[in-house]
Amino acid sequence: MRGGLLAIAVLAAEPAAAQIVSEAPQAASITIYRAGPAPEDGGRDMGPGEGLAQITETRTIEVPAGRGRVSFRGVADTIVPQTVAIEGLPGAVLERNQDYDLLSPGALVKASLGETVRLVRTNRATGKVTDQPAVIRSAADGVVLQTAEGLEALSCSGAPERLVFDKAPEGLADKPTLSVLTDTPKAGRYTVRLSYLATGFTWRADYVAHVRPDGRTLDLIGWLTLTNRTAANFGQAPTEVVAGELSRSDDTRPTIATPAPLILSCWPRALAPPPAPPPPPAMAYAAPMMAARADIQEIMVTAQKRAQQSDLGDYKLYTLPEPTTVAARQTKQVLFLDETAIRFERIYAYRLYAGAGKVSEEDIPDAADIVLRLQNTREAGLGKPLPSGVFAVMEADAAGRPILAGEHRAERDTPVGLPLELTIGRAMDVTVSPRVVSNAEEKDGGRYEVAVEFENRKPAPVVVQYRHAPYGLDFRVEKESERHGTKAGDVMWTLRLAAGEHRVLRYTVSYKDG
Amino acid sequence: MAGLAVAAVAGPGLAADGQKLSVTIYNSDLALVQDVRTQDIAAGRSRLEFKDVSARIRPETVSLGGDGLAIVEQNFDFDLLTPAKLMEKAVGKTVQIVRINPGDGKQVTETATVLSVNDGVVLRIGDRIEVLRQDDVPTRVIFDKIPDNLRARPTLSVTVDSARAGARPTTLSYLTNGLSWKADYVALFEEKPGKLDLQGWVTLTNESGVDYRDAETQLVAGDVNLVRSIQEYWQVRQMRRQQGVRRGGMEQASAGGPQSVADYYVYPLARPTTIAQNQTKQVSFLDVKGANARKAYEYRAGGFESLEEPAHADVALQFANSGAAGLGAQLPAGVVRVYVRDAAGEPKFVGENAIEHTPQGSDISVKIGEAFDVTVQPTVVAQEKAGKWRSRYKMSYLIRNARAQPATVVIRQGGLGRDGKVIEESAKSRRIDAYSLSWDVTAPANGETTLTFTVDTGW
Repeated sequence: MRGGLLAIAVLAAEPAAAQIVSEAPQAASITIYRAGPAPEDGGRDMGPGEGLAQITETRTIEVPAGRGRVSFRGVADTIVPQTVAIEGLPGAVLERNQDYDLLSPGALVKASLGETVRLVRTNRATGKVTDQPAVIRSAADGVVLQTAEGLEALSCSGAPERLVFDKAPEGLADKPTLSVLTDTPKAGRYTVRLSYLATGFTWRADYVAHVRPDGRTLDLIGWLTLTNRTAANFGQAPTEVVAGELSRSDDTRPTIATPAPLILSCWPRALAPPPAPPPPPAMAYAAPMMAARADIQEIMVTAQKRAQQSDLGDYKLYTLPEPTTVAARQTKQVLFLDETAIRFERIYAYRLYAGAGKVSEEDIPDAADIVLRLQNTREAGLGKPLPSGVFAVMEADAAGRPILAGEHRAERDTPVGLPLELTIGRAMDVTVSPRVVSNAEEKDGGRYEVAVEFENRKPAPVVVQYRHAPYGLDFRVEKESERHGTKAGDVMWTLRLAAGEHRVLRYTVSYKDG
Repeated sequence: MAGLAVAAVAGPGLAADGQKLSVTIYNSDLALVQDVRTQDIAAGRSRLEFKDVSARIRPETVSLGGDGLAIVEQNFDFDLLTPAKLMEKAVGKTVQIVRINPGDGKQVTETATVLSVNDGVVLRIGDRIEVLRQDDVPTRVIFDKIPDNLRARPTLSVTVDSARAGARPTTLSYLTNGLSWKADYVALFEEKPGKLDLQGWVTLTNESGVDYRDAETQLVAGDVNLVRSIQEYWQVRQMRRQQGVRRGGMEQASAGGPQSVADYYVYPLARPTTIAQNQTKQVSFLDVKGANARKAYEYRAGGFESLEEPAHADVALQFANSGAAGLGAQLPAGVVRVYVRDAAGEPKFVGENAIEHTPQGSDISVKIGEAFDVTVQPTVVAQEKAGKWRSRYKMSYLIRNARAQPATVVIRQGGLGRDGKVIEESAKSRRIDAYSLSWDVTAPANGETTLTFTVDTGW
């Protein structure tokens, strides 16, 4: 009786909209943003809001005249539903929906609450199958059924039994489903463009610099490393990446659909504790690990064709040379930069923070940094936008074999015209040893003298930039044995040391207490 | 309760005779549901059971109204029917047990009395006492009826006293959680002409556990003090009804426009809609073409510091939502997603940000990201003592522009204290407030420029 009422109500409430299903896109293009940190290795999964891509799909659909609901299947599983834009439908879009009431064993039973289903039992001993109608009375925490015999709980007797339904309930789908409700003036075949944002895609830039034998120039190549952490696979698709920092909103994340579980709780049952399960064979441990490793990623390096760079608003757009497949759970690398004979300067950089002159041994850095300084200009052999990323610097050893000299992570994008400094390691043959040799108190402040010993044990001349961070107010250099310059608010001495040279820099600074 | 007439009433997910369902959804995970339907109610006391009301109903907010009806009591029962509860309620009663012999498949049915349900079920069968399924032999238990007050779903029941018998419209209203809405905007910006196409969508989400079929839906924008404002809302609504004011539809471009109610806005949807459980629904509420807009670069320094590496200037999209600027609508809080056209003319996403509830006539600045090619590098050139509690900062800002067009960057310097003042500057400053100044600095195409200034400020 109640079951009948429900069925009628569902029929009456369903509007007379034609159902049109578009199963998959004919074509798609992908623009990947560098949103959030890119995974450095295959191990880490991205969070639900991490990574971003704009996906534009082309689909052809047959639409009858009048009101219709067009469902789009085969979109990326990480689609952010509120970012969907649809162009090319002949009529107005009345509403867009994403339904994520998923068909699951629990949802199937819950949706049939109050309805008559079939209860099928199999006798283990005789193999006889019985089949009787039953009304689902509850599916809250365990399932209660009403049969001609009375009330029973599902799966509580210990005998095999199952429920059989005539049809899947309406409105439950296998996946979250995107649809639009539209009024079509004229029936026909239409090509629509579906555009949306999806998470789970990202990219990063990786650079490899080879220092040439002359020690003054280097060759630089840059790779775009694209990562798809979703299950989406669009086949051969035009692909672009966008370099630049975009503002992001926490709201831009995919719907998390939680399928209703089927809970088959029963009444308490007194039993002897079950015997401990036998230890699983060793293979049972090995297998999931192997599976996990296989799942990690596949790294594809494409042919040496370069991605083309253009501007997109205030960002840089790199268009991959040809349509490509960034397959599900894949990492792909494409060359975007290949420049040779870029001039650079090797500098040994040292920065002292001496405060009011009282420094302990631990506060004093024990070695200078090795810095390769480039000018990102065409004159210097570069002059290309450099998205932030890791630079690996290779030098040739005595036998001409490349060895890794060090790595530098550029945290910021480097536009054309700016200097780029790659800090690749600590100096071993160039030493810098500062000491505070005297410290005097003065009215409202103080003054102290610093002696810095420099030694170049290399067989070639070197440039050392020694910096002293300011302190207090009215900070100034009172006396110095060589003339200073400034950098980023610090005072800085630039010294050129000949091969084997040993030199002492002496200076006195004064300050007022802040 | 014995002897009371009980009428089962279907919930909002089910259509009923003469039903009119209206749902008012607030930003803050809250909705007011009003269900008007014709019901035949007997004279005297009877109990109305409302099935399928929202699983996240706030039962203390339920009210039922109708001609000649007085409410005696309201109950919200959430004692759910489960196998365990069924067994507990059967203590002292008889059940049928059916044992299935695993050897020959024969079934034996016996009548048993449930003695206790404590960590196992103890039964009396004839003159024997047994524990249910202790031998692991498959045993079905058949109960004869559903105990009172155990329900498949949380159920709202209202006991009413009716002055007369007969059909009449009744109004059930309640607040529920699990329904919410927000605004989502799509801004397509054309930099050269300085024009913006702005689309607004309301995004409804229903996780309240039930469907709302063919519901008149309205959305309330504003951070309202709900305890007070809902009463106000009803008063205003009541007033409007009495005046016979028809609400305008919310067609595209907000024809009819939203209604201002007290200090917040109500957006009625143009037509009744079905909001299904576990559904995100979007309806257009704004579609403006060609509003005036501009792009701006900005760099904000909270204090006086040197940066080792240049920082990228922020890029903001700025527009006014006044009628004169081409966009005459207040904007409910939401996320603005900005697109520009690429070389092929395709709109490409370039950034997003949240906006607050924005009344008409406001200036809106949406930070969309950082400019790749426009950088700012501040340096503290000198930091001097200017008095017992005063300092003098000499600052230099190097603005570099790698674009093919000049770029004007708004440099905002915060961190000024008492009597903060400019001593000298290379460009004219604007005072923003007691603690901040700003300069408009233009860097030439593929070039750089330096802003220098000295300020004197107390601590």
